[in-house]
Amino acid sequence: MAQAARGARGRAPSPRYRLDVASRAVAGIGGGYALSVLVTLLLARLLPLGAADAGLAATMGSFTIHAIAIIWAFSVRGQARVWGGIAGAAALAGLLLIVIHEIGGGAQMGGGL
Amino acid sequence: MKGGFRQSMAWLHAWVGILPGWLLFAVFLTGTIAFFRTEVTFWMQPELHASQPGPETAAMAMERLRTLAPNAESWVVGLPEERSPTLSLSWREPGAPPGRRGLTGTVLDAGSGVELHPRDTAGGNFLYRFHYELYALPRDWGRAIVGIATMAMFVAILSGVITHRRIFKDFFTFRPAKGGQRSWLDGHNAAAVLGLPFHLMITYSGLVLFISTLMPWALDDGGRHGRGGAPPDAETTVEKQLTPADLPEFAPIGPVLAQAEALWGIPAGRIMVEDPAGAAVITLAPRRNTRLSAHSGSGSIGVERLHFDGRSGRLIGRDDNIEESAVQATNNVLGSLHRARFADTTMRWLFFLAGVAGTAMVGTGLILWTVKRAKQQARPDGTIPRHIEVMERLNIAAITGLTIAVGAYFVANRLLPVDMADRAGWEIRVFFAVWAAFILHPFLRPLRVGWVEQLTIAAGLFAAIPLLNMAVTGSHLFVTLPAGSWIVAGFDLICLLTALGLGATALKVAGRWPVAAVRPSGRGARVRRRAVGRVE
Repeated sequence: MAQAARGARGRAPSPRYRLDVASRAVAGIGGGYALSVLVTLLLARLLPLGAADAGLAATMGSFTIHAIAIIWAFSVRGQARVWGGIAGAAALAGLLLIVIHEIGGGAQMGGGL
Repeated sequence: MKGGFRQSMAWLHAWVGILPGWLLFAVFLTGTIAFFRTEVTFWMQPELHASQPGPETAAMAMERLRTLAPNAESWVVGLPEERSPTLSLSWREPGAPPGRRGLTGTVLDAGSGVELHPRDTAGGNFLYRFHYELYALPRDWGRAIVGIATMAMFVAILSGVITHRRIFKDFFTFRPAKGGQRSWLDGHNAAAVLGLPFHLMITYSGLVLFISTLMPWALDDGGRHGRGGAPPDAETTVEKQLTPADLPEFAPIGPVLAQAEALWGIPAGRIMVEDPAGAAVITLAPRRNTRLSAHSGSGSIGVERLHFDGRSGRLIGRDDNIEESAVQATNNVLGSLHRARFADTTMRWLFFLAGVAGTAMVGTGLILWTVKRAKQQARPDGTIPRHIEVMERLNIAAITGLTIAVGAYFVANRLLPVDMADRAGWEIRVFFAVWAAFILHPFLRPLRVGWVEQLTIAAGLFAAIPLLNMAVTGSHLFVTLPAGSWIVAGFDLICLLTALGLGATALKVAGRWPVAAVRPSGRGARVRRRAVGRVE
């Protein structure tokens, strides 16, 4: 956000600045929410608890993940890192979910991974 | 990157705070009042105020139900307690629908047993529900809107903490004499740091209470865990009409209640009798949860249960509703904390005060946002950009406008005719109509005049509430204080304190706003100077 923070002090923000902020907002709020959903689903399968407990525990923690994603989106330098970080993490969580689904694991596997 | 990170967090804090800020102020204000929702409802029904429980209240309740509802499938007695000293009786007639709808009920003076007819009001429940569902919106929409604002609050707290590295020093720095931006910043920091554990707790637990709306994807039952059992099915159809004399005798209720109090450490709040003409099982519930990890439910009664044989008074069962799972227990703790479900009177006051600090944190944050930008972006001719002017007006509408609406809600409660049709609905209509008027008002007035007028009206309104009580009810401070009726007296005293605070603020704002007139003083000189720009 360092470079984007410029533009205050009375002058109207440039279109480029606005686009930068909008992109970060979409990445942090929208992308961050998608990421937190995927991580929650993943943790619900991986936590060494009963299915209902694992789902609830993962859900209760999900807001922290979303918040960290938002902070990430508004603090790192450059759009590539903003989107790369969030999309990368989401892709990793999604991939793991698919793998676990395919090998038929789940809460029963406990903390075996 | 070091300075850059803190700077970006300051930027995030400002924006994530201002955008949902007006809504968050309303949520904090109405939610703080909702810690006392039972007491507020009691205050709003002056017809109940003379009720004073005596030692025979519970026995009288059982006797009365025998007369009123000998044929009922079940009886429920709401015992008087410190939050509402009345006696409520309800019962389910044979064939009545399950749930609350099927209950017939009445409210009695807990001492004399005289039937009371309280005025129709939504009471504290309106403010309570508004703080998380808003009003006149589909339930899920209201929850989603408040939930998203709560998420923003969470990010605002995190980014605010990161921004304020001098968090403890800031707490001891308050320079009200300096005026302008510096005072607002100090006030914002003090309210935020003072209540930080509370603010984090209330925000995160608020999110967790919303999980079935905000994050339902990994929940296998939509988040509705352990909300008590389903109401018992209405199977027993009584053919013969019973008279009170047909009912067998009950064991004296006094010793039954004493057993429960000995086991729980707090008195029972509710007596439930299943099949009073037959098996007559008496079930007791405590006034409030005795454990933080008990699920927080939706009413105000505890979830533990003790079952007694109604004829002999013997304890026949105990149901503690203890959660065996640590995760569920954690969920319950968060819910209990948010709703102060375990809290006794002292703890409830602490929560209320912390809520006031939270409300002040949001309010000062909103004002700080506009004061700072008005100064930064002022043009050479002294005018400020249009959008800042609009936001300054919205601050008035959200902060004092809502305060006036809450005051008007209480005043309407005292002034609307007692037998008016849809009276409870009209109280709420007054609330929204007044708020709408005071949302428009600041747009028609110069900024400072808008603040001063609204602060003055709010102060007058809250000062009028105890006086109005004197004029139209028999339970005013000169009666309630000597009688030790602390619920009603406490409400009036808080109104007076609120009026004093608003009045003092009105005077201050009328004197100096928003110019930061730095007045040299001994105290101010001792306080370490800081560059405004460094603490965003």
